[in-house]
Amino acid sequence: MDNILIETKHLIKDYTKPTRLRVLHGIDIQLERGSFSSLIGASGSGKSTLLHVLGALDRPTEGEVIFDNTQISRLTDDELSDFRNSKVGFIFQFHYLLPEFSVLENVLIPNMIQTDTESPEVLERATELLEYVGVGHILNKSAGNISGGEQQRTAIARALINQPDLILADEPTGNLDSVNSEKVLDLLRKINRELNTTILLVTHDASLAEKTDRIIELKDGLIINDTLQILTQK
Amino acid sequence: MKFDLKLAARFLLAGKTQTGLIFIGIAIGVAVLVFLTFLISGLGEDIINRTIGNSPHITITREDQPLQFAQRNFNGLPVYTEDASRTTRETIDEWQYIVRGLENDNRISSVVAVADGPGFIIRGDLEEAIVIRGMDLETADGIYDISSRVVDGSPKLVAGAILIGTDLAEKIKAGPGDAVQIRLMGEDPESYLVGGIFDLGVQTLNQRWILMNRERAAFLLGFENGVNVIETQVNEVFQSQYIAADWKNLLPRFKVDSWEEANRQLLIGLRSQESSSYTIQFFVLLAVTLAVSSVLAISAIQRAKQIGILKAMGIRTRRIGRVFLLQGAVLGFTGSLLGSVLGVGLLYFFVSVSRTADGDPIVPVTLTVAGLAAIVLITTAAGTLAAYFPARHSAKLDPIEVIRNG
Repeated sequence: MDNILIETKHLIKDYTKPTRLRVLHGIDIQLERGSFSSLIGASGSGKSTLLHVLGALDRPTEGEVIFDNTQISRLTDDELSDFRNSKVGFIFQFHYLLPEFSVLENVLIPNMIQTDTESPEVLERATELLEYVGVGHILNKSAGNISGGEQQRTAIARALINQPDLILADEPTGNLDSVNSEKVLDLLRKINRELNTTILLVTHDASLAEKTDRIIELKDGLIINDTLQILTQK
Repeated sequence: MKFDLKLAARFLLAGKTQTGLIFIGIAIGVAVLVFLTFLISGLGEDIINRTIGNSPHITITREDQPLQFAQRNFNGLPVYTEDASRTTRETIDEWQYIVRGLENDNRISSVVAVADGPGFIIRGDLEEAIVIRGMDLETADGIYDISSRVVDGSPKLVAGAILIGTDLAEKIKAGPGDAVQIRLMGEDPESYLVGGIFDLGVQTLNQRWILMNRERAAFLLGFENGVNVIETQVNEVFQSQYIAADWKNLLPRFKVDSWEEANRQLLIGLRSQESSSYTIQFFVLLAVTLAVSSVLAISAIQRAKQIGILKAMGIRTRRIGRVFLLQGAVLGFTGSLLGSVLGVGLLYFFVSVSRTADGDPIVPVTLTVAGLAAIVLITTAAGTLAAYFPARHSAKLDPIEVIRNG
């Protein structure tokens, strides 16, 4: 049980606007610590919604989300914010860096939200992370003036700055060409191995999913397939 | 808070044109505010100063007695004459006691006891109606500043010497050292020596007043050693009606009049000037508030992505609201600082170009740091208030909406 980082129990999510619609029909899922899993499915299958609920961006309509033995669906809004800040790193398709800040500052933002200071240790960690993801040479460039691949790498470094237990990546390569997609996936794999960070990757690209350890397939808000991959690399 | 401030500053700096325009807009609004506020208050103070700067603010006399119709003997026949020239001639016997009380009231700056009554001045064939004013020069200077306004002769009120005004001196063709006669109605004239000539800057006073030693005037007017008027000036001129009311309570048998009662029309004029100033201030502030509000509302929409991602990264809802309030406050504060500098510059320019023939400013403007600080403070508050709705809008933003729609 201790090896489970996050699990859901009969997770139901309804949208009420514009019309009442059940998106998740009772999902039971467990993610182990240090695992690298992918969530696949067609558009509208509920994979992004599941990711948002797991990352505490959204609340379930019914059911439970338990993170490290804590029922996060019962937390207050402020507690959920703090939870997202310290436990989860998000990587989105559209990168979402803040163009008003430099590359380095963008990586520091989650930490600034938490501590309101820029300690030398964190500054050093941010620099190291940017080196680690391969954009150490553009630290002081404005985040609005770098390429898509560089932006996504910066977003990955940002997701790692608060040393989260879980990284949730929503179509992180969706906006990148195949070369950059490959690089980003390799980077995520490296993070998973070297930092032992649990990663859940949402994608509709089956070939990307093939490279993860476990593939969870959603259809119409239900898990229809859950495959543990035996990878030669492992 | 440090990070919130940094975010606010970056959001403002990112939209340079937008921020620059609103910044200039606030500065111009505040410059107008500063200019008009100090100009109108300077104008008001100047009018007050000219009107009551050298006249009593509170006057204490006996309640009117039926003395306005006085019985006199005229060629052996009783004749009723109307004493229309001035106040009652009932004396205040306990005046020294009252003067001491007034002097101990720290709201009151000057107290002058006056023996005051009508009479005539005669020189040769010329005769003029006058008001005899007997007072101690040192105390009288507290209100009338007579010593420094004696333009010819000596500012001294030794027994037998009088001071007369410039207009009267011209009329009766008398100067320092000349002998004149003064008589009360129906009484024999007495001789006096003109010691000096004063110019109080008011024609009626220069025409009618003759100043003499208080004891001498009291004797002449038949007051024994008494006075019939006590005049005072107060520190806060607009408090005089309240101070007068307090003294009326202490002296129920006396008339206690404040300048405010005697100058109702002037006060109405000043008040309407003041309220026109408030109206202008209100609308300038309203314009500033609406401008800041609309600019921040646009900024909130433009920064929706950033706000969404910040919320996803765990910034609390309240802090997002605070970032926008801070933007409003920063705009209000910096804009009003620049506006204050512009407004003060405008005032200096106005004062330096609008001068009288003597080179004095037409409107003496007194700048106060407290006044400027109040304007900066109010504008900052207005800017912060203006950010309220954009702040609420941003705080309510659902990060999923932003993430989903790119």
